[in-house]
Amino acid sequence: MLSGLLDFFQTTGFALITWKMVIMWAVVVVLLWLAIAKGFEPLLLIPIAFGALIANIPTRGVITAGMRPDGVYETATFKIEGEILPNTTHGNAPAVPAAPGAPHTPAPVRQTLKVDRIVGGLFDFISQGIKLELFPPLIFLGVGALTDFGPLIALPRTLLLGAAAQFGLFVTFMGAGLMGFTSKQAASIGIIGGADGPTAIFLTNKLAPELLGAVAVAAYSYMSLVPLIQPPIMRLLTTDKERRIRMKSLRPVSKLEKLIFAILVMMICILLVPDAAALIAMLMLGNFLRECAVTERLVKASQNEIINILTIFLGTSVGITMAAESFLAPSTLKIIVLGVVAFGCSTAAGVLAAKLMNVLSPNTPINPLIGSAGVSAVPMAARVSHVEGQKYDKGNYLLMPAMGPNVAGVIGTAVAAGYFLSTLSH
Amino acid sequence: MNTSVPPDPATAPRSWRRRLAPLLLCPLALAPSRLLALPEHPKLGESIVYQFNGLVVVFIALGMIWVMMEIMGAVFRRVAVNQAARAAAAPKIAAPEPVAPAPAPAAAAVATDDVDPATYAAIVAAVYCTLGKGHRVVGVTSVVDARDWSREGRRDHFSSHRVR
Repeated sequence: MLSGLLDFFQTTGFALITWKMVIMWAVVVVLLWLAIAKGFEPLLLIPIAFGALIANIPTRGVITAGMRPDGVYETATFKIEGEILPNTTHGNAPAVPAAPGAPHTPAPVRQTLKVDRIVGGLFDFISQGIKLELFPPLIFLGVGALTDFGPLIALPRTLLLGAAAQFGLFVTFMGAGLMGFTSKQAASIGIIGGADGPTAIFLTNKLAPELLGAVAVAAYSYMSLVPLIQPPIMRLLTTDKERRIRMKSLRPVSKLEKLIFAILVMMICILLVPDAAALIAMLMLGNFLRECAVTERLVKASQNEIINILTIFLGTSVGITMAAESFLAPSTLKIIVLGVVAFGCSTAAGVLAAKLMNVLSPNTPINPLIGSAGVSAVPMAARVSHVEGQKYDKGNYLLMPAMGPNVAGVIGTAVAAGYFLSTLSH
Repeated sequence: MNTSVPPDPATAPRSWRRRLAPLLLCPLALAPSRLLALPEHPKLGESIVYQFNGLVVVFIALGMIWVMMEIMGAVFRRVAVNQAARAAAAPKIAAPEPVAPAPAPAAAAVATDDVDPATYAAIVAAVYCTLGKGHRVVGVTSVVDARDWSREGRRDHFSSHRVR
């Protein structure tokens, strides 16, 4: 009887628990505490934490994961069972007789596979949304439908603040290279400085999928910690007088301007960095739907149902990559450190760029506090600029001016991701 | 002749795209070979050149959008000024009949849309009940672009991000 019980115990999940899993449970508790007790990005951290918990419990029928011979921990794979049909042919086009003397090129072999069943767990299939790069662009559709580019159109020079804030990405790229990461991994780590979760996931999945869990957790954690990370840097780099600068009210922007903006930005960015096409196109499609004001149902779906459903799937799919075997590695700690460096450098570069613009154009000064909003944590970074400005002048409303660099940061990060992809993925 | 064999790039005539490519990439011409083929573990110099080129790409993209927006803004501002001037020059149209004042203490000043008196009275009564005395309705406008769902969605999404 005892041996029977022991045999049964071996079939339960308890027998498969490891000490690494227990450590990951503690990480999950920290993430849940940050999300629930502290309110830091609960919409993302809770699905990520829950996914991480599932990944670190012995489960069946949820996800397939394992270490590849090359040492890369691979998740979310499924099997296709079938048979190759006997009527295999060589090519399906009529053979063209080659000209005398021309080199012979064999016809491609085409075989028919009859699929009997597809074997995989729930997240083997849901995670394909990340692997096939479907979720990040679709989330960008919702982001576009939620974003008002009016402040950016009214004050277009704030685009430069969004560009300057990408400095942190490239500095971190160099830092990661010095710490031993490959150039593809370094680019995936550097993009954390852009403070744009979907873009970070999109890029990392293409360049360094083995780092996906750590990069996503770092990106979203730092996005949620924007109100803690940015203000000290902003205060350090600005004077009391600069923080009190009041900016002129923004001019009203017509509907036609917003529609032209969406089309123009999409075309320019895609022509310059075609690898960012999926992100930029969906961002601007969402915004165009919003601004044209005749697709109310589609806008509502993009702003609510689509983005909400995808947030659940994306968060849990990212969390489920945080298996102890891959997450508890020295590289994770390095990524966490490099991520905060990227974030700090991006914030500082945005503030310093705003100060430089004031030197070059003293007649129309801008408050340097809005420079920090160049990181694309929308709208958190803009709200931090506003709150920080109001600490020094209660009547200074920086929210709308800060939205300009904030949404410029979204475009800038997508362009930077496109640059990394076009130069490193081939 | 087998047309599937690609032409030899070294001997094939250069298309206009190939000729223009160096000009288009001239801002990135610091080290094009390094830009397009960065090694797995680049040296410090290669890394610096790479990140400089990356920043240049980002600044070119956003700089182009900036220039486009400035041009577009100037055009739209000019159109707005012309329209304002035309409106000022046009003969003034007689003001519409004022809507009958509501029986509530919060008297109406201007009704900007066609609103029937009963609806107007209900709005004024609602204002009186919720805000009390000392308020008046200065205008009632129909929501023509119907963006309430968009606004509500945005408000809901934004309010989920708490500033500590």
